[in-house]
Amino acid sequence: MMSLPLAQALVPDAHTEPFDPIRDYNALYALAVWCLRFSPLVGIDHELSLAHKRDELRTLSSLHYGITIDLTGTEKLHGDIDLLCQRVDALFQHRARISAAPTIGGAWALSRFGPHTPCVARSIPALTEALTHLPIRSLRVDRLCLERLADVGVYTVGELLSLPRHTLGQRFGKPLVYRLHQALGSLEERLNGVEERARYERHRIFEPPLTNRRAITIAIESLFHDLLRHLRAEHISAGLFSLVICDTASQRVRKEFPLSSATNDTKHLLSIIQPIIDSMRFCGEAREIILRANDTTRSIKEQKSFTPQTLDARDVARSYRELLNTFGIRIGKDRVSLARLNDSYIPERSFSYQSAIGVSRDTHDVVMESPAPYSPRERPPSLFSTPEPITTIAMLPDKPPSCIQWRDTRLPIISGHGPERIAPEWWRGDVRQELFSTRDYFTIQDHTGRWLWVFRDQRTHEWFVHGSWT
Amino acid sequence: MSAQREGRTRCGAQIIDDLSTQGLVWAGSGRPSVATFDDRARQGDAIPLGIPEIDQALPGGGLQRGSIHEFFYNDPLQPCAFPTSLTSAIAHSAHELIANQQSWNEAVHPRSTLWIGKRSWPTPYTLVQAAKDHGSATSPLLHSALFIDTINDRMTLWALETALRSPAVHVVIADCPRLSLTATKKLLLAARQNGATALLIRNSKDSAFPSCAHTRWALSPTPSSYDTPLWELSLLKIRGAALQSSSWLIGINEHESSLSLRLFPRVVDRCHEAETTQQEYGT
Repeated sequence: MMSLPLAQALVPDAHTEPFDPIRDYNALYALAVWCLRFSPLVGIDHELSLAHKRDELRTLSSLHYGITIDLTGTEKLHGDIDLLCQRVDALFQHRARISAAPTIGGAWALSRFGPHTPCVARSIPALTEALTHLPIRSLRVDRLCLERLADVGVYTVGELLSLPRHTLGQRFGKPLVYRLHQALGSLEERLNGVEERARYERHRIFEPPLTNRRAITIAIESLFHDLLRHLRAEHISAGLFSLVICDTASQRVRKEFPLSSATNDTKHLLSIIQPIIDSMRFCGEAREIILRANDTTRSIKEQKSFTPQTLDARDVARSYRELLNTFGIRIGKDRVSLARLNDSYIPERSFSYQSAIGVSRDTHDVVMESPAPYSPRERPPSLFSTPEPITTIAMLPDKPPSCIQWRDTRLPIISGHGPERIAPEWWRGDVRQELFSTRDYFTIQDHTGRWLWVFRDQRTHEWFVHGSWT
Repeated sequence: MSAQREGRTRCGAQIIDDLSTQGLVWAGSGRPSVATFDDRARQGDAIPLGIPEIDQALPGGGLQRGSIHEFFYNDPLQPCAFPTSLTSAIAHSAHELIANQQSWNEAVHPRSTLWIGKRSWPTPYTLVQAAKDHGSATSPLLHSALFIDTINDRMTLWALETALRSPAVHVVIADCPRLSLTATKKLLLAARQNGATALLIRNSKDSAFPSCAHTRWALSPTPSSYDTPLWELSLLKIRGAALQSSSWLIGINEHESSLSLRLFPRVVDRCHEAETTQQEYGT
């Protein structure tokens, strides 16, 4: 592998661009959709869509970026297969590697490793013959299997075929046999088909451009009404709306509205979006306004409650989702949270907050492994996010303080309990131990009746207030 | 002739009175006035504080649902302090109240309890303690709690009003900025829409400002010889009722493992009193 500076030194005027696998995937998908003109069944590699789903595109081999066209039954339409291959080759400006074979696995191998392009095998025997000289990699097997075969000196498909077939599974793993059978046609393989993604988009061009702010907001609202009416008619709800406003100088103002749950309710959506649109800054004049709905899902038609006064459980669930949508957009995703308890004795680690957006409350687990074993007098109901340092007068080694100085005020202490020693969790490898040293906690009451939770750090012998009973 | 007409009018008025007591006729014009809402809200139930002596003193046996209640926590050293124990206990009894009323399918989507403003957030284990049901490790109150962090007072007020208007919300506990009378009226109307209850925690400096709150409370820590935190709770104002006894000494019930509050008898510290008397007379 060559490093980028070295490559640029060798070819100074080389054009470089960062690797963006998602963009590549989307482009390939669009190309596959374009290929639907040759046959109604067009697919992309199963491994590719799986990696896209799991977000592992970066580690995927570039061999898997391919398009498969099922030509069964379309020969009459295209005439000869050779002719079709040449036509496709010309359309791709002789830059693609093309092959035609009776099986998907065979076509995959021939297109990637075939001696020439276009490479056509018309029957299974011809395909077997063509595969003989190809490397084992052409069978789409993993690296481990390749290494095992290389250990016994098998490098080509021909050598593999000469081995006794019934022992292959045990020696080199089932996937090898599976792939071999798929390539030779004794096992059926399904096409991972693509389909044209529906686009939900509305745009409006203004000639002359809109200059009045009020006119722009009215136009945006009417686009929302229009798009949502279309979505409702198709029983689709969308989770992400993006708005693009282009001005005469082709500058674009882009605004996205990510929702926590998909919706197609105009009244609800406009109630969230209206204040944002009102506070948006538009560039001088609007020539074109585009509104897109993404993250679309099929919406479930819900029957409305028969009596409008009573609250149904469905109404509560729906209005909870709407409330989260509203808060998520106006306040921010991270500022709306759910709490959960953790299995830890250390006060600040015994609970955590997570964003409520995108978490279904039905599945949000609040079942703890062990319920909090503390009584209300052992742990304060309000805990400071960072302990506040204090100075104290206390008898060593383990007496509660008799006087503290906190927030520039001297507080005589009239009663106290303790200590309760809380040690670091040495059994947890994932937490840095030096962040937390052993602490001795005391519950103290000052002369005004205020109850505080204070501790002494055993390493530095400094005192802190950590919480109070309020 | 006129006597006959008078009799007829009286008869009509009586019929309307009868109907309105049965809830079949609504008094009032097109614009909702606070008075008619009061009548409506009175039919609803109240959230008990969990301390029988105080609940008895309140009309309806607790805090009125669908209205707002204000709390002033008075601690000069902690101006940001928040009456967390009391609000958690109220939130718990409010949650129990609807848990007993709701049908089985509503239990799947309980109405939420919202804490608005980061200072108001109680530690989550307090909510578990408040709702600790011996024998089960789940906490329905924690399950239904939603914590909202706002960046400024304007946003707090907006979030408060939005939450009160939502049918999915049952109780809102908010760290409340300074409010005008009009703003509290707006919040009251929002709360009545779906019967949500607002517990507003306000700065004790603001207690002189008028508001539409149904009740106003002041809370301050009190020194004691009891082995538990105690507070002096006083009822400053209650709407539509005469104040009988308005000050109590409450504290965390030390005999229970769950968070519950109880009334404590006032103990006069005779020794301390004797000492001060001695000092005064110089003996």
